[in-house]
Amino acid sequence: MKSLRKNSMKIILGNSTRSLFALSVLVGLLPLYANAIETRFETDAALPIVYLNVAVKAGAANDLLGKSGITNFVGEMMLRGTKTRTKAQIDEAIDQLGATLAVEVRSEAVIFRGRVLSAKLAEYMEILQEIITTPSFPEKEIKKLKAEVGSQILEARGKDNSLGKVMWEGFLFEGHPYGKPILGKTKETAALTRADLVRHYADLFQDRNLLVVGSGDSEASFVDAWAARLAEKRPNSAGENPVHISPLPKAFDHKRVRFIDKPDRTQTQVYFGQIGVRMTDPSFFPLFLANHVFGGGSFSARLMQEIRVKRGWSYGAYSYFRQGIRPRSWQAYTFPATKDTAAALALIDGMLRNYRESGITLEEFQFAQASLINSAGFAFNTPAKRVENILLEKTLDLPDGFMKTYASNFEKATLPTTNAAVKKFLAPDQLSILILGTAKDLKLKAAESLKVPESSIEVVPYLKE
Amino acid sequence: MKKSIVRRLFALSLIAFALLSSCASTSDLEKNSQKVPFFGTMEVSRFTLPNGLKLLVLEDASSPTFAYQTWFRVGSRDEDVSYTGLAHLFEHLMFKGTKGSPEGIFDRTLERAGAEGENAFTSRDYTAYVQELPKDKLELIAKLESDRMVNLVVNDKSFKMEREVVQNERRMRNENSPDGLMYQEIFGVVFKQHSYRWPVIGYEEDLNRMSSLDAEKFYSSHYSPNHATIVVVGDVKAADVLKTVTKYYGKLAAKTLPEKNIPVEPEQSAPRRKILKLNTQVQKLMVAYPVPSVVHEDIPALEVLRTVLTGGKSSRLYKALVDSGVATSADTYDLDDKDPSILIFMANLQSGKKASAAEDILLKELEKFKREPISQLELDRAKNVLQAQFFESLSSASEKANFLGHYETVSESFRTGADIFNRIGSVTATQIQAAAIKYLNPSSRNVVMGVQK
Repeated sequence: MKSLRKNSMKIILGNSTRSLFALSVLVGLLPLYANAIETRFETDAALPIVYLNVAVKAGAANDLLGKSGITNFVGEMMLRGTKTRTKAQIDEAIDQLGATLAVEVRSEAVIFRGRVLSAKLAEYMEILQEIITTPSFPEKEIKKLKAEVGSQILEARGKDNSLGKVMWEGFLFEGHPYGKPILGKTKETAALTRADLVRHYADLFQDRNLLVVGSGDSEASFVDAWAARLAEKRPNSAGENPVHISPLPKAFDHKRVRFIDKPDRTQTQVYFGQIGVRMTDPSFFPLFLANHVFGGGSFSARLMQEIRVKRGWSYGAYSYFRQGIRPRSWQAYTFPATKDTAAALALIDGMLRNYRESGITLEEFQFAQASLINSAGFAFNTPAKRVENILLEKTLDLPDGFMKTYASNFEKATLPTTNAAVKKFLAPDQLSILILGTAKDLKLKAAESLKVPESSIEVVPYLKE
Repeated sequence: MKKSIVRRLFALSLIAFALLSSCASTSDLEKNSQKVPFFGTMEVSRFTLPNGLKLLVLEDASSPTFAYQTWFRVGSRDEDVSYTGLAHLFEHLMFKGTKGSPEGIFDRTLERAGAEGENAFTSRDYTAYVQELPKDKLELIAKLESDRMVNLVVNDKSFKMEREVVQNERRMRNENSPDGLMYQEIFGVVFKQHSYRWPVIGYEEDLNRMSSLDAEKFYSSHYSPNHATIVVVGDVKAADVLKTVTKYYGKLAAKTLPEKNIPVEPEQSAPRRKILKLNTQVQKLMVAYPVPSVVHEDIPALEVLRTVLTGGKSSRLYKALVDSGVATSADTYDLDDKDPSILIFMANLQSGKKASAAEDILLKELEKFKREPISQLELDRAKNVLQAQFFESLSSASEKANFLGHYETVSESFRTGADIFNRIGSVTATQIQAAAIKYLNPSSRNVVMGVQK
């Protein structure tokens, strides 16, 4: 492929057990029904299928202390038994309908994602309702899932890009819930008990935390009525909502470098970054626009030009924001050949300093502005994207209608405000930097490139959690 | 004796095409167009320009945008030995400059216009260039794509730079990826003669050996209007697309295409196996059997067989391998190659479990197909799964264009894909049993195991 390019209007969420989803601009708000569960459904009869999602506005950031991975574990276990069906019966019933149902866990959301032939929707809803409202958490399945999750954690160690991403989040958000791996840590998931799971489910799956969003060949009133029945089965418990928003992540006041040591690497994974800004922060849109110039997913961006086009050092080089309810992260990412990594580190370090000091040019500003505004339509051109917009708006606690004005924010930006925002935001001497590679080949050279003492680079074996 | 598929691609002389293109008007072409049923009420307008360029248009006004894709009938299967990876490397070079448009202009122009998903991909059978655009940009994309179809400039500097990028892509996809190495190896184990034996991305030493002259020769041989299909899906009118495409591509000359001598793979007579030592913490298994090309009449039965085995959590292999605590996943790869290819089963093992144990379980499950027909319940379930997957593959303009372009290129008509879907509906349990007996043969079994280094 030409590249792993990111699209201009995409916003990246935090960790997720599935692929990253696009954020797009919501137009034509769909009706909001008077359920205890918020419900949105867009009728689209083009094909005889329905997409139906049930989301919980809480995710891995709500994992309990010492029980990392519990939210993901609960989500997976809900598919493995209800009061009236075993796992095998659930699996057969779903497959018999030609449907799919999978759980995706993000830092601040759990989403049950379903797809079914429209002729089979009513039967599908019945099964889904059972899964959401009456999971049984059988001990036999808990034992099996522990073995699967433990193996998945180990298997991910073999994939440099996913390993690098998990290690990066853990490093940048050290001690903060955003740094927790979605799958959890091996020992902690192995120690989970059925009582832990039942309690965590009861805390998260209350109607005030639930959301139903879908699209396809059905009527909104039909989905709404189903959501109302769902709400009746999961009423709020008395008292305060046990789902809490995470504290603000801590910014570091000095440069930190961590080396994830993995043998025999001919290619490295490299991250530079810092804590980001919320989408509702006034500086977000100017920063997003400036980032489009610096590394935001096009071949014209500076990082792509310097690292790939001019030097051929890596297949890709990007920078991007990740979003959360709290300020999440901004990072630059590339994966150069080991032989070129030291030079790439020095180049990126210099580019970041120049970006902060000199900002972007008028020509770059105008190009990014035109590109972002002209491509805005693709953020909502399919029902699937519109569904993702709603999920995002609701699970990131954005004001109603926020996404409708997304593209117009770029029209309001000016070059001086954009460059001032970059200068205020970016802190080249306080960045966190992570390198995944073979330390014996690269650690000293990395220290020289980054102008830090070699002894200050923390080396972590790649199998350490 | 070495057999060959000799695929002589139809070509006419430059003069003849010049004459034809000057004579044929858009209205003549419209009269000679075909409206081909696709699915439901959807119809595809099919045109062929006098220079051989094929055009497929599917009108879909659900969004004020359109997908525009250019599919060239050349992939890694068309490469020569020692030139592996050239088709893919050339795909990268297509984003360099043309005679009238310096490097970078193509990308910048499309980005400024608001293009989405501008990209390209190379497979064993084809190379495709894709993007989506706002509805008023048809003229722009036709101008840009027609320009790089014939006016690309390949210089030594840009070749060397892009070769380095591709080497980095290879490091990412294969060299540093246990799954990538397994996939590369299984094709190498199965194919001994056919060009499917090498990876699409090519071998390091072959890429290093090539020069810009090789790329120029490749461009000259394989990139021409009579070797391409343009697929447009979205908020457009077929007549307008034809007019615009004729304006920009109609004057391009067809070329005499090279004769292709792709060896036919000899029938496998004994099982093969290989153990790969990988930087992985869990073992991996791939088992592959030769199967026919995408146009073969047995493909629908094989699709159902594949789905009974791995299509969902109630599938046989999922239950036997994952539910039983042996593996964390059990999958198969799609059956959609132009030439006879392979059906691959793969599993990632759970910690401490052996790939050999998974192989034993897999083989027992495959034998069951041969002994007795599957139940009606399983058959219905697999058909429902495939039906839903088919609809899902048509859920956006770009996905519809991908479907049309893929089947039009690997089989000469996009109808092949729709026909496979229709024929799946009438597949019987007996046909599946017969396919299992015919193709899941112990003597043609190929096994690759990935174990910890």
